[in-house]
Amino acid sequence: MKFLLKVQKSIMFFSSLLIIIGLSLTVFFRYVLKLDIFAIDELLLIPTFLIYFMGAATASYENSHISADIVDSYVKSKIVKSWISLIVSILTFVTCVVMTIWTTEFVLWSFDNGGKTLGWQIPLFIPYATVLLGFVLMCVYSLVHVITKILSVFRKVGV
Amino acid sequence: MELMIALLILIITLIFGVPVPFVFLITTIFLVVSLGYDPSFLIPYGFSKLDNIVLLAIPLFIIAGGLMDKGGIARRIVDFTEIFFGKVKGGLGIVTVVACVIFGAISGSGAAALTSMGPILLPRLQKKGYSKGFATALITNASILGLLIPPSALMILYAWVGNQSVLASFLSTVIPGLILATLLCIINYIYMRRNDFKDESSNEISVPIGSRLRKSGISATPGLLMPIVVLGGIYGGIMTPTEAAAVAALYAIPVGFWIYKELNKKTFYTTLVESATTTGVIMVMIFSMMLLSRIFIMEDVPGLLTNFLLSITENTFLLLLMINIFILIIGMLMDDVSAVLLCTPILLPVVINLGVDPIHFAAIIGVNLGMGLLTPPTAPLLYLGSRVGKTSIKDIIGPALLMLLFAWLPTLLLTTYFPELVLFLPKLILGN
Repeated sequence: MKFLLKVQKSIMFFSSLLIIIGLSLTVFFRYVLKLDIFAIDELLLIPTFLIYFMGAATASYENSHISADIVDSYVKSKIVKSWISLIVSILTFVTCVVMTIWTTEFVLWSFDNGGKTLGWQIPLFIPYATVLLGFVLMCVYSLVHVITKILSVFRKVGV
Repeated sequence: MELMIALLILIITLIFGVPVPFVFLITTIFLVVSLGYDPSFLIPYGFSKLDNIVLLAIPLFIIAGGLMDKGGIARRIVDFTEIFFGKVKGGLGIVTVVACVIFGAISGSGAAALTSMGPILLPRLQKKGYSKGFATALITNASILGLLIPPSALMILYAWVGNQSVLASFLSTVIPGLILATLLCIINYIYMRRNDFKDESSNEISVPIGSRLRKSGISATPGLLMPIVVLGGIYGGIMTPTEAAAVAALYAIPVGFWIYKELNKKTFYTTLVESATTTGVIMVMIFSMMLLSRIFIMEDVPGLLTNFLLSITENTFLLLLMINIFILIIGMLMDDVSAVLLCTPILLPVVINLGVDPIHFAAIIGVNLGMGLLTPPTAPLLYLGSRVGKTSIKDIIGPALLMLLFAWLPTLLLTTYFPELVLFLPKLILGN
């Protein structure tokens, strides 16, 4: 798990750098050299989606997605809190599974029928696959949270 | 019926603490299944919405803000602002507000301003005799100016979701932001007059202003140049907001490494990774909200809502009041990003039908959601403020409520009912 996370973070780091440099170069080329970089947005498509969905997967691992937690603020009982937390993690996991299935169907379809970008002819299933990769990782991490929370509930009810 | 159940699912899952993107996805899945839609169109739709160069400005501004935060810009801005307002009675409160305005023009985020400015300003305010609760409430309120002073991530989102001009949306919140800043300064002044202050001038303040201006000015210049580069580049027509954000991030790297020397390889790596994670949190939320809003639009939810509102009253004054209350309640339950994603596609067609200018509505939404960040039960910035200020919500809530009533509410009313205030700058700079 730690190795996977390290790889994810490296991808996020290098993708961020690529985007910063790529877009700054566009401005430099346009206003200093009076040249246009050909279809820069297509070149940045894959690193952009890698940041978006690797970032979302990392947030799933860290449990840092934004939530309201209103009930949690008002419920005092630790047992009730851990049951709520378990239900929330199960709902999250099931949602991730459904999204992974829908995204897999779409990526498979685009592998057979999907087009290419206009400029650099990048097959579109590659950026689509980054969305799938993100949801697969979110499934893995949310499953880990489900298991952790089941164990936590068992511990709290004294099983 | 399905829509009512969907709304119920949305509220219940939200209240129970399901992460917001998954709240949107659960509701979408329910609607797809119950209304018999084929889900195959949803993923490509979500992808196509995210594949937009304008949206890329958000992660880049997050990265730029993160690099400037870790690079030591916040302290220099505070020192610089203190030269001008430090000697005025209650001046440190004004320094707090003005420094947050400047930092907002760099980072575009309230949370970034709060976490950067809080640890620097709180000890100084307390040393001046401000109570911990008031000082924390003031910094928390002022930090939200980052949402209203351009560039603002919230306004980029609004413009993108509502298909409006990013530049006009940026400009729409400037005057409400300045009104709010002025009102916060006035509240600070009245508070200061009513309380017995030590009024300790630091040794630094007794140094002649010229030499302090030289010292702090030189030190703060690289940081202060950033909003000039960003906003000048955008409004000068040299760069798009996305390119300006990339240039800002690139600019922040040498400033942090070699000028301020507070950035090293490790903090640089961590900042980029943390910014990417924050980006992921926002983008997956946008992705999931886009799927839900697609279904909402297919089911004509904005049309139903318009008809419902018009069945209650046709008075524009009251309709705007109801819309404000609706956004405020959403803002009380959700964070600003989720709320703008939910409110814009549903309410923008409604207000356009009522004859409200979409750029005017940008400011209404901005001020409302800023208020929502401070209003319990969710109040994410109020909780963050209590963590930064190491004080309890109980201590902050009184002064925060005072600021909500006497700074935020008047700003909201002026923004809502005096569209000329909001539209003045967009019309002046961008024309009609």
